[in-house]
Amino acid sequence: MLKRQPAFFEATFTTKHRPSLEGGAWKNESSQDFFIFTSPFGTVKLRKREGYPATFMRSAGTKLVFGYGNEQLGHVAASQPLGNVPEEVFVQEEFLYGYADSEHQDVVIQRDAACVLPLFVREQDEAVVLSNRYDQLFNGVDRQQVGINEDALVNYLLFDDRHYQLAIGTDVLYDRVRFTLSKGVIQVLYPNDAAIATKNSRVEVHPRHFKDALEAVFDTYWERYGNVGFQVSGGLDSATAPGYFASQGKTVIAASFGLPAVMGELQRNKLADMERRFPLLNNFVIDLTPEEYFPFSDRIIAEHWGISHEHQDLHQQAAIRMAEYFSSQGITAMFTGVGGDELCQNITNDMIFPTSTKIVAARNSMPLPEYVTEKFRDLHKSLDRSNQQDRPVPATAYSVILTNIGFNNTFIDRNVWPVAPLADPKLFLYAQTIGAWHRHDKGLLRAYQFARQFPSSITHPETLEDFSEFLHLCKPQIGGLLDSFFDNSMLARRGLLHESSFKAYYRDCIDASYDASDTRILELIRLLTVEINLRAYQ
Amino acid sequence: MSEVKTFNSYDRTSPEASAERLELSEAEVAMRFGDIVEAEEALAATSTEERERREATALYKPSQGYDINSMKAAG
Repeated sequence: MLKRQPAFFEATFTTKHRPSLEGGAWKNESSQDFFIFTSPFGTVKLRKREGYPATFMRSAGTKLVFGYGNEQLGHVAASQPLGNVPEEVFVQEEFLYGYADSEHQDVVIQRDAACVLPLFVREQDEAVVLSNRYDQLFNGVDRQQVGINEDALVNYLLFDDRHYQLAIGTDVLYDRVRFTLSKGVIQVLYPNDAAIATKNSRVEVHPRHFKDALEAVFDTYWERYGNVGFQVSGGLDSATAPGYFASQGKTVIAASFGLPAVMGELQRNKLADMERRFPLLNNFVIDLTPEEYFPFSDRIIAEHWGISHEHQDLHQQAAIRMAEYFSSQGITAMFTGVGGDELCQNITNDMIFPTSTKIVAARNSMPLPEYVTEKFRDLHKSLDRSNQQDRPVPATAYSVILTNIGFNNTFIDRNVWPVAPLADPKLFLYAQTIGAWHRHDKGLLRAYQFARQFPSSITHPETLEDFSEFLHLCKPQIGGLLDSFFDNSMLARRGLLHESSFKAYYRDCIDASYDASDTRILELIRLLTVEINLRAYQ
Repeated sequence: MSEVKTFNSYDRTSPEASAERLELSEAEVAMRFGDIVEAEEALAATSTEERERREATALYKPSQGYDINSMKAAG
């Protein structure tokens, strides 16, 4: 059984205002690896990290300050009404800024735009718990008392919408959000929509400056983050930064998730082209053998079938290997290609608002699978979409924060900070202001790479590889898990799913021959995720 | 405007040609990028049909979640 990593950040505060607690000073009980401060009001624990973003925690009597990254920016953001904080404050650098006053029993936690560290919150029994690890929220909780949000369940299963949490009373602290606790009252405050919401009214900028803007971000990040490694997939986006830095004579240490079978061979050819063109050191490939790295394999290895977050990385076992490799090389930050899809393509508000007219209409008219019950259909019909505007337009690319939530803990646990230079908020907003003409099919990114003479298999690939073939090869293991978890299913017991009809459905999918356009396997994986979680709450 | 260079005006198929040009100066990289952008601008100015086609096509499909958990390749 694998040793589970302690959380990077954990905090617990009492929500019951007790005059007797007033005046209780913070006591420093830090260890070699963690800042730990305690008082009658609560406990805050944060891993010590020296590389950027460095963590900090210090007290003065009843006042405690903690967090990571640029403390000054965090302080500026947290010190004024959230609606008045200029967007510029959020997008310059990373920060998480926390302040806890045990005398007045107040807490403020302010997030930046990038939200690299996942952060979850839950209120229960006169206490509020915050952690980067979702399962930590439920320590000591009677799980049978945890309510399930069936609207969130339906939204997730049907639309892969992860804005709301399965467990009632839990929340995610997203982009620029502020958490406050004051005299026992908890509030999660949301910022204004970010500037992308008004980009159509901005003056277009000339695309000739794109190269300079991109390289300025790369250079700034290189200086900021120190010992950098690169995740390289063989695709366009993740090749950009390592190609640039290699051409500047920098040491580029790279690692890849290696696909199996036909797609794997095509991917390896692209990686080999990159290695021939650029001096990439120790390009380390984790072979995604289906028998070893199938979805949920990490949970079998860890013998842990408890609560997990819906976002949990399907390929966590492989991510652990990559993180351990980077850690062994002295790497403290990993650059990924996340955000490249958004950076140089055309994005409209219709696409990024889950409540946009188009998206709501598509969801309302979506045909439901035959295995769902009338109760499920009624939930779909009655889903309340009116209250979803409390998720503002993010300052960075739309998918980045959810990617961070699913993926980043694995690396942060091993002191490797995941960074997405292509999702830099200022660069993203700049690129969105270039004429749409130039953002067709990532034209500017291809032009940039072409100018640097990246391999043609990267800039103008004849094939695109994805995880479809790998997941097809994992079907024996996924089928076994479905057989195991959907015998006496919790979803069926809740009256949401016809078990026999569903078994026929998934058996048909598992037995089907390979078809890259058949995405039912992802639907089955979502159902498995929900079923595993529902069992954990019982 | 000098000679318009598009992607296809460069030889990007020959490994030998590529190997000979590995040592690009930064000035040359900037010139190549500038040439392509200018060529694209020129095309946009002369072909309304192509411009409208590109502007109307939204290839980006937003993911609600984690790309690596979809069929898409990581990063």
